[in-house]
Amino acid sequence: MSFISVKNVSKTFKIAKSKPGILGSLSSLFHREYEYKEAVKNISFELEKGEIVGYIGPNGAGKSTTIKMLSGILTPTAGSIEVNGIIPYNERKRNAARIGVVFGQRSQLYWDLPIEDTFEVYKKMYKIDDNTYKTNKKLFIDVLQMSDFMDRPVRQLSLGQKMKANLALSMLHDPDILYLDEPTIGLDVMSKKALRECILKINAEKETTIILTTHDMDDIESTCKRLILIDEGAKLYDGGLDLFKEEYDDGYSVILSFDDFPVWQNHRGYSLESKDEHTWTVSVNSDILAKNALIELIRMYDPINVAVKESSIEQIVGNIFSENNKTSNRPQ
Amino acid sequence: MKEHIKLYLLFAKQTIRGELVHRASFITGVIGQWISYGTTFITLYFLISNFGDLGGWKAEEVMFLYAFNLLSYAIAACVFFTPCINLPTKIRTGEFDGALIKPVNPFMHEIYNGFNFGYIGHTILSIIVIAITLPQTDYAFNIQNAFMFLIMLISSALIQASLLIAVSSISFITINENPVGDLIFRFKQFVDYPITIYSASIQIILTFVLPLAFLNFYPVTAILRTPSSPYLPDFVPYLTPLMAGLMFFLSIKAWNKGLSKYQSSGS
Repeated sequence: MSFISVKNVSKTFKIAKSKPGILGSLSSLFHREYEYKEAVKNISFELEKGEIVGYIGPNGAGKSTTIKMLSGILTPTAGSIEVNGIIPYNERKRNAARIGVVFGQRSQLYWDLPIEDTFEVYKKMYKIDDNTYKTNKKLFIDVLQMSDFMDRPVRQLSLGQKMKANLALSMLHDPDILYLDEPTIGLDVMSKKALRECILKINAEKETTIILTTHDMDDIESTCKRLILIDEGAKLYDGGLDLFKEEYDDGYSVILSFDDFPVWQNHRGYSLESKDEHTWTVSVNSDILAKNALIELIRMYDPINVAVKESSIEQIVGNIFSENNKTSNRPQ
Repeated sequence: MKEHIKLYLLFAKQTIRGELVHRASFITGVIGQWISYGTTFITLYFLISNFGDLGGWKAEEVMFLYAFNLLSYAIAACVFFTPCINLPTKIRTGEFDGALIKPVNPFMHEIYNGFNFGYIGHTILSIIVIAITLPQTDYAFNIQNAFMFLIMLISSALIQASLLIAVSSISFITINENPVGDLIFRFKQFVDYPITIYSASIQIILTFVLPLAFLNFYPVTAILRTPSSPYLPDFVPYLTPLMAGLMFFLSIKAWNKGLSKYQSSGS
């Protein structure tokens, strides 16, 4: 039995249709029409203790809905979820004591209280013993560099400071699992870095299982070994990050600079991707070694400079999603 | 229960500290309430003493009736007002998710986090008015009567709380602001005066259909031992604690029923 097991889970929302105009809203008082939106479609995956998994997909793919079902906020329409032996939506309180949740779009802090006081409140609410509380508080204040704003009320904090506080609070009670839903959204590079370091540290020291959703592929590359990709509620890929690169990466690009453009000649394995004032970007199949490609291209076109660009995870993921959208006939 | 009270006091302490930071806004708030309710009390006094009595009640008794309603409301509102009034917004924005990922009951989580110190103004004003008007009535000070006062005050506060909770639970279904809350507040104006001034049918409605008379009219007749509604049996005022328990129970039920409909929001 896995630590977290998600089996054939679907979630359908029932949404009341609103008709335009005053007459429309009046008539909907008496007769309501509903539409059904399937946010998550038959998703399954298993997680072992101590894994860090990147859960990614475009906006509206069903990432947050999955996190909400895992954390017990929502009940699946079909399928079953078991987290550490607990069915989250049936035993919400028991589950809540064992997990930490951060919603990047929504702060869990109490607006008028200083962070310091919010820590106190969490200590009582989660029944954290004095020792754990002291060690953890010190650890997070150090790792997340929180010491200069602990006594300030939440409403005076910057976005980055609030997110650090949210993350620290979510880990204060030594949860077995952390659900991080876009924790780095809107943050500057330094704050992102601090957050990622903290995530890695907590995973290494406490063997915390972490599910991370994000749009920032740097988050994924610096923290996750495993990737789950979803789009339109369905799972597209589930596996290692390295394998993912191998499987989906269809090559790399070579950038050639010229004073005067030569004539492009079509040859197998190479294609002219784009062209601007002084450069060509040539994409090369992954089965041609970069060394050979460079020799070949230099011999043929004699550029004044060359550079090799590997495709980033971001590009690869972007390609997959745009492919997926082309092939699916989604009703508009 | 002990756990709940400890947590509540901790939150309340922190909230009061937070509120007192905005001292100017806090003091103007209190003064504003005093002016508004103070005017009502003065108007009541002059109006009724000019007429002699209102539905058989002296001016002091009507003022006591009003102040009793205000005091029980202040007691209920300092605990329940903020959580109930913020609930529709929290549901619409999905902020309510926060209550569902804490290892405490979601209703209690909202209550912990919602202490409103602002009702101290209402409390002080209504206690002053009660202290002035009560000796002017036939109320005899003794242990038994003091006990009756306390029971009736708690019951009335529970009914005030039930109304706030029941109304807020509707927003789980409507998602948007609901007009019922406003309606109840308007209806409450019916019991600003002794219900004996109304016709029999309205008195019965205010007792059994929308039992607002249990907010102040029945408790006060039980405290002052003045005649109750001539159309209903004499024991009705003493049903107040029972009514309070029932209404509070039903309102919590409604809230939990609403909670089961919660769908969160996008993102």
